[in-house]
Amino acid sequence: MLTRSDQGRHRPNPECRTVAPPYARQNWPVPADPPTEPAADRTADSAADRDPGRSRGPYAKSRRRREEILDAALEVFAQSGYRAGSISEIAERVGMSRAGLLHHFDSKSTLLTAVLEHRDAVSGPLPAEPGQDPGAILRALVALSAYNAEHRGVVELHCVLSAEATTEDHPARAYFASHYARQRDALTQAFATYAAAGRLRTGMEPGAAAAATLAALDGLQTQWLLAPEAVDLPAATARFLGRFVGADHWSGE
Amino acid sequence: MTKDASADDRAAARRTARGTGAKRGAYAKSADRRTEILDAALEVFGRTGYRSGSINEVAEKVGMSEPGLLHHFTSKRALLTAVLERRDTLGAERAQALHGADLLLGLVVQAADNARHRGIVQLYTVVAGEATSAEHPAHEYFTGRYHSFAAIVRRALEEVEAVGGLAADASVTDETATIIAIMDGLQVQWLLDPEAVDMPEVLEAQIATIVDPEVWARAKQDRAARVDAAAGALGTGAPDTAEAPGTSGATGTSGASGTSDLLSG
Repeated sequence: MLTRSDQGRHRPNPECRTVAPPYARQNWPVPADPPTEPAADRTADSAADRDPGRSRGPYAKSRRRREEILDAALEVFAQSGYRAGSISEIAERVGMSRAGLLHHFDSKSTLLTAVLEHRDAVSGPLPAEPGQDPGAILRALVALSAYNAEHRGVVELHCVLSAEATTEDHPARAYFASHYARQRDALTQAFATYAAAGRLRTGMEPGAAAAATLAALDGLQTQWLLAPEAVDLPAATARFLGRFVGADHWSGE
Repeated sequence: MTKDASADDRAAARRTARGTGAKRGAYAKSADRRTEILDAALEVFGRTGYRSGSINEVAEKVGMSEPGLLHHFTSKRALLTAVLERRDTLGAERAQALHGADLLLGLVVQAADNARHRGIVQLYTVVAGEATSAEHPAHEYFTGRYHSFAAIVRRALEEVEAVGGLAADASVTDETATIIAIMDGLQVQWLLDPEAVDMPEVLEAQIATIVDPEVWARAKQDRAARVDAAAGALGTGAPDTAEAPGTSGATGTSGASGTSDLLSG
C-alpha cells in the first residue's frame, strides 16, 4: 500500500477510513455564524490555502487535500447529480489521479456522504433545543436563505441531490429522509409553541405548517436557480413565515 | 411469431380505435405512434418509477421493438421529457375549464391524484431537479414550464381577487410563487417519506391562509355537488379522483376520471 507515491505522506491507514473522520469535520465553519465568502472558486480558496502557516505537516496536508476534494465534489455533484457525476472529473479538478482520490475517499458513495456532511457543517442544521425560543428557528431559516442566496453551488447540490435521492437504492436517500424528518420535527415544535400561545395562524396545524415551510423553501430555491433575479430568497422566506406567525413575534425587529 | 403478430394486431386495433377516419399521411401516422408510445410510457414509468421503468416494457406494450421505439425517441431521457411534456399539455387544457377558487381547488385535487401516482411524481421530481442546472438539455423546457404553470395559478388568484376573495395582505405574484414552490417541495418530502407528509392536506391548508373561508367553502361545495351529479349520471359510486378534498378521507383506489389531472407540478 505504501509504495504508491502519494500515500507515503499519510499516517492514517486509508483502509480504515470509510467515513469522514471527526477531525475532518471539526474545521469546517460552524452553523451559528454562516461564513460570508462567495461560493465561487472554492477549490482555489479553501481556508487552508488562505492561511498556509496555520496547518503544517503531513497530517494537516492530508486534511487540506480532503477539503479540496470535497469542494470539487460538491461542485460536480451539484452540476451533474450523483449518478452522472464522475470521480474522474472530481479528481481532475483537484489535479489528482482517480486512484489518488480514491485513497482519500474509498468510493463514490463515501465521497457523497462526506460532501453532505460538509454541507451540513457549512450551512448548518436548524437549532432545535427543547424549550428554546421558537423565534430562533424562524430567524435561522431566514439567515439560511440569505446564506444560500450567496452560495449557488450549495443550493444546486441540495436541489439536484434531494430530487435524485427520491429514487430507489440511492446512497443519499436515508440521509435526506432523516434530514427532512429532523427539520420537520424542529419546526413542528416551534410552531406548536406559537399555537399554544395563540400566535399561529388560525386553521394551520403545526405539522402542516412545518412541512409547508420546508417545501416552500425548497421550491423557492428551485425557482431562484431557474431565475435568480426574480426571487429574493431571504425576503420570500420572511414573508412566507410571516403569514404563519406575525413577524413582530419572531423577527426581532 | 404468434406473439409478435398478436401484438401487431393489438397495436393496429388501437390505431383504428384512435383514428379519425380521415386520410392519414406518414407524418400523421408517426404522430399517432408517438402519442401511443407516450401513453404507454406514462403508464410504465408511472407505475415502476424513473430508474426501474424499462424502454423495453414500453416497446412491448405498443407492439414495437426497442430499436423501433428509439427511432421515435432517441433516448430514455428524451422519452421521459416527452412524457412530462404531454402530461403538462393535457393538464393545461383541463385547467382552461376551471376558474378562481375552483381552479385552486383543482390544484389540491391534483396533489391528491399525484399521491396515487408515485412513479410520475418521482419522474417529474428527478428530471426537474436535474434541469435546474443551466447546462441540462431540459433546462429551457423546465423554465418555460414554470412560466406556463405560473400563468395558470396567477389567473386563479386574480379571479379570486376579482370577487374579493383574496386576503388583503396577499399579493398575487408572491402567492403564485409560493403555491408552486410548496407543490414542488412537498413532492420531494413525500417521495422520501409518504407516511409523514399529506400533500393535498398541506397544500390546502396553505391556500386556505390566503382565500376567504366562505369563498373556499363554496368552491368545495360546488365541486362536491358536481362530483355527486356525475356519479349519479353514471349510476356508479363517486370516482375518487374527482372528490373534493376534505369531504372524505383519503381513498386508495385509482379512478378513471381525468377531471383532476390538472398539472403534474
